[in-house]
Amino acid sequence: MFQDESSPLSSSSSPLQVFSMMSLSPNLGSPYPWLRELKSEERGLYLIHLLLTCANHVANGSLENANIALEQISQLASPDGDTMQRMAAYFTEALADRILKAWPGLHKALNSTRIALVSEEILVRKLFFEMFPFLKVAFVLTNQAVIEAMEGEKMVHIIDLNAAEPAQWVALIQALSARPEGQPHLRITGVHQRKEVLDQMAHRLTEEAEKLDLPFQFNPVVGKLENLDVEKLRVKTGEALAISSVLQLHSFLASDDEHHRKKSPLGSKNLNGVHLQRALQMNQSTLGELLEKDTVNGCSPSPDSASSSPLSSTGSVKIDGFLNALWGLSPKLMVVTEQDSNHNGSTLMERLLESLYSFAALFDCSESTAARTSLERFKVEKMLFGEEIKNIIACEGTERKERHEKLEKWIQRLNLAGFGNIPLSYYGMLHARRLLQGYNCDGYKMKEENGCVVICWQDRPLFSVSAWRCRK
Amino acid sequence: MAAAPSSSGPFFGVREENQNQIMKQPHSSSSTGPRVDPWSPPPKKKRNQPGTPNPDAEVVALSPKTLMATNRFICEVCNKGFQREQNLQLHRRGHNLPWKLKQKTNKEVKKKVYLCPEPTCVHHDPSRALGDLTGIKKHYSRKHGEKKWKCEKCEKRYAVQSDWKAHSKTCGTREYRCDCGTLFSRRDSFITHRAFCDALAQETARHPTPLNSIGSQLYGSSNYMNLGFSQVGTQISSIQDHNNNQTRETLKLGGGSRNSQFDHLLPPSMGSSSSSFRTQQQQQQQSMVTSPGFVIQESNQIFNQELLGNNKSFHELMQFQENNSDNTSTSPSAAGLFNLGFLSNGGNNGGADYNLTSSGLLISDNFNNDNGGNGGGTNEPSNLFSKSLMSDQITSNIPSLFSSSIQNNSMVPQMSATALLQKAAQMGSSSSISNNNDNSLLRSFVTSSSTGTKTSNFNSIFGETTAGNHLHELMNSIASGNSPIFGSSSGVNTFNTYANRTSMEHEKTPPPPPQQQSLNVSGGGSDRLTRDFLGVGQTVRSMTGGATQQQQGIGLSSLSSERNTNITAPTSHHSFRGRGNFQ
Repeated sequence: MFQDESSPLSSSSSPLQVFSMMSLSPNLGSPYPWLRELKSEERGLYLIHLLLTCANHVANGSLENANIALEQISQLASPDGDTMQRMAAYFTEALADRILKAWPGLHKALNSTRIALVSEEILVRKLFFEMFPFLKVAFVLTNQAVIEAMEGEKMVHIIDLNAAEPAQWVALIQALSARPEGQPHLRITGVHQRKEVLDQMAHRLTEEAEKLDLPFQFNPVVGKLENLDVEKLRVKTGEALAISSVLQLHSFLASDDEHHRKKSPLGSKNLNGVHLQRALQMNQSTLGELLEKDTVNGCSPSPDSASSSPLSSTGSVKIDGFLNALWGLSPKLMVVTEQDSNHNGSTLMERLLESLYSFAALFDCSESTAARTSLERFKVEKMLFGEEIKNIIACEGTERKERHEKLEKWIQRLNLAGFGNIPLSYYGMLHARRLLQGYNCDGYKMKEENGCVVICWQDRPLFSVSAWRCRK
Repeated sequence: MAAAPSSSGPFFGVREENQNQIMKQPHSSSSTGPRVDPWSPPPKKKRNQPGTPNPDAEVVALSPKTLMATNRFICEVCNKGFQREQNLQLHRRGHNLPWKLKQKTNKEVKKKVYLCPEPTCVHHDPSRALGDLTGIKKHYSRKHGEKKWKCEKCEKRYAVQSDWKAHSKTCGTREYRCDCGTLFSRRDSFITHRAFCDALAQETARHPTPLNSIGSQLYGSSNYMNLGFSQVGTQISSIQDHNNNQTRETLKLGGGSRNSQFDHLLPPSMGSSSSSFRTQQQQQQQSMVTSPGFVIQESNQIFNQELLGNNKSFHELMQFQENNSDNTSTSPSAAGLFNLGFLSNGGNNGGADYNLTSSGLLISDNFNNDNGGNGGGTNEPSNLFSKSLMSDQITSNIPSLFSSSIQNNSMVPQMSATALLQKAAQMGSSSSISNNNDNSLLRSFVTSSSTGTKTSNFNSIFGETTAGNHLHELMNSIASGNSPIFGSSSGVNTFNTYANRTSMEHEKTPPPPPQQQSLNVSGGGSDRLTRDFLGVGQTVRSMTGGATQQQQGIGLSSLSSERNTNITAPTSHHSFRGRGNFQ
């Protein structure tokens, strides 16, 4: 069992793996009263350390040690504290969820009454759209790309793979109706799980089009994207097609083969029971050493860490199939917005470290946007960030949907699928930049990378937008 | 615009519902700009050109009972009742009874006007009498009667059956759904709602060029403060500049415009919102358009809360704000936004907070810039204190006080999670490079407290939460002798509770040294790791010490600046020494 765990470590050259060697004496940082008096900065550092320690125990399947660490963290973390406290609260939850999965009975019992509130989820996504500039920038870029690609086209068909936010298309309708060469016939096909969302979208868009006297048709496709029947998109010959995918493609990266590979060692470990002894035997390493590695990999937004992840090479059949299907529609344009993070590492520690960085940035964003007492902020953090963290940390296999990957990988993947990159519109970028400036906050930055755009918080890339055409 | 016709004529006035008048008022004032608000309803066609009733018209005053009697004219044969005599006569013809229709003789018929029987009603006055019987009946039912007709579909109630019928015909067939999810069966209420709902921004922000329209659409669709700014679009920079200038002015020149600024200070200090403070300042200094704007917003807020409930009111307010900012010039919009923060502070936590934050960003930036040149961060707090102590620099003290308070929300670079992660990594790398862990750790901690900005300094003194930061602001205010201004504000309470809490905790807390020793022991084998945390613990201890000293100072409620400087400096020394001792 020990070998089980260590063999993948030695085989991999990724320095990130060193983290899983990390351990912390369980006595350290037991809940002394003064812990609570730590000031923000020290507490934050301590939380980082504890999280890594805990993650390590979780990765090793050592419930008892993980439990100790979790208890310590719980003294410090808080969903309404400062940024690191909030973050730590969700990471802790995710780690606890993961280790608890070793006891499926417990895990299931604890989650048995949990209901997925789709409406809440939609609300939270709307809040996210409203609170942060990311999606707005994506929409501005997408729309400008569409307008430029559709110049002179009389029949325009747009497929929105996640038709939840009418604002984007209302803007497009307005832009198209005002274009100098005259209005096109516009059709928008929206894919969404919920009929209500689509209905509302249809209503909103139809109303707008009526007002502007633009010939318009909305084609709702109710259902999950993964079960999408391409026929239902009703793409007709003669129309110019544009596809917009906002934060959708990564879920197609979920694959089953990994499921077995990852699940089995974890399972066997758990069968072996508790590993307190082992954890104590492990090499002790300092926070300093630990984080030094972090500097190399995490701080610099180098794509190496991403591409060195062993999993990525194992192409997922699902995504290939989906991209092929889209390619088969021969869109004139496809705009892809994705989280620009590497949350698809094969090991827990890899993902934990990467997600620590990217979610630190996201939580910082919300700290700069909303007050600590804000309910909206809490909701977004809990139900969007928190759930994503949980999915990244606690899930494996097909369950793990939040497989965000860096732009480089998407470029590779889309290239392989027969798409050619189109540089994003200059005007679009200009406008997006102005929008970001309008936020009046230094933190938001926009970088152009070979015609694609990466939206960052400080230096941490968070979202990427890229435009594609069908390469025949 | 609704009020005018209703006052000028009785005929028209009846139909105008009070509610509508209120609704339209803020709306119309919001669209004073050159652009026509697409949602403002088209000017109503005036039916029966209203005028004072013909002076020689016969004034009829009916009792409520007579007025409401549905069938005053009864057929003696079948007991069927009729509302008009003419109808009864026609009916009688069916029974082969003698009947007689009055002939129309223009000269003979005297015009009749009817009074509303309700004494409190404006139409009770003969000069505002209504011109026809049906009209007065409906008026009486609508305004003073029971709404006994209820729509099955939408719970709406009507006093007049025909109203109900008319509504029932269209209810549900035509529905107006706002993006916010609210459903309307009537276009006018929908339009009124939209005027205040966030979704409006999408419409109002329309610009002729396609490029602009994308952006404005997207800008506009948010409810949040930030968007309020972005809606202003290119004008934002000018606001910024203005703020910049202003802050600089206040900070550097201090005495220059002191008097006026100080005046503005007083009212908002009761609201305990820094944004409101700034607003007023801006308002009065920059433009005169703003003050009416302020008033409008106030009434508007009340309206919104009444009409739509508290939960949405903030959004709508913001929305309204955005309208306003679009239509009028930049400065009032900025001011208005701040105003909102002030106004909504009471009932609407979330809203006010947003305002605070964003305005904080604005202000704190300026503040940072201004102080950037001052050199080491260690000096910052003492600067603040000493500045505030000098009585002739009160103005400069206040803004800094406010901005630093906001800063705590937005001190992204210093306390952010990103920065923490990076710092942790940095610590790690430097420690391994020097291979002398103790020193490097020590260095890093000392650095943290000495080169950090003022916030971190204060944090290191007062510890963890926002409350701590509050304390810090209040320290400032007290030290500067401005406390009377804050006398009754909630901030002081915060401070008090915090102080209590801290002192209690401090009492509770056993002296740190034993703990640390136990730590040391427990650390055992992993030498470096333990020391790392000892470093943390040590700093904490020194900070607690610092905090106690500060609290004593507060107890006296007259902190001298020198004292503060003294305290601040030793704090870092303290930790330094403590660390050294430990080794």
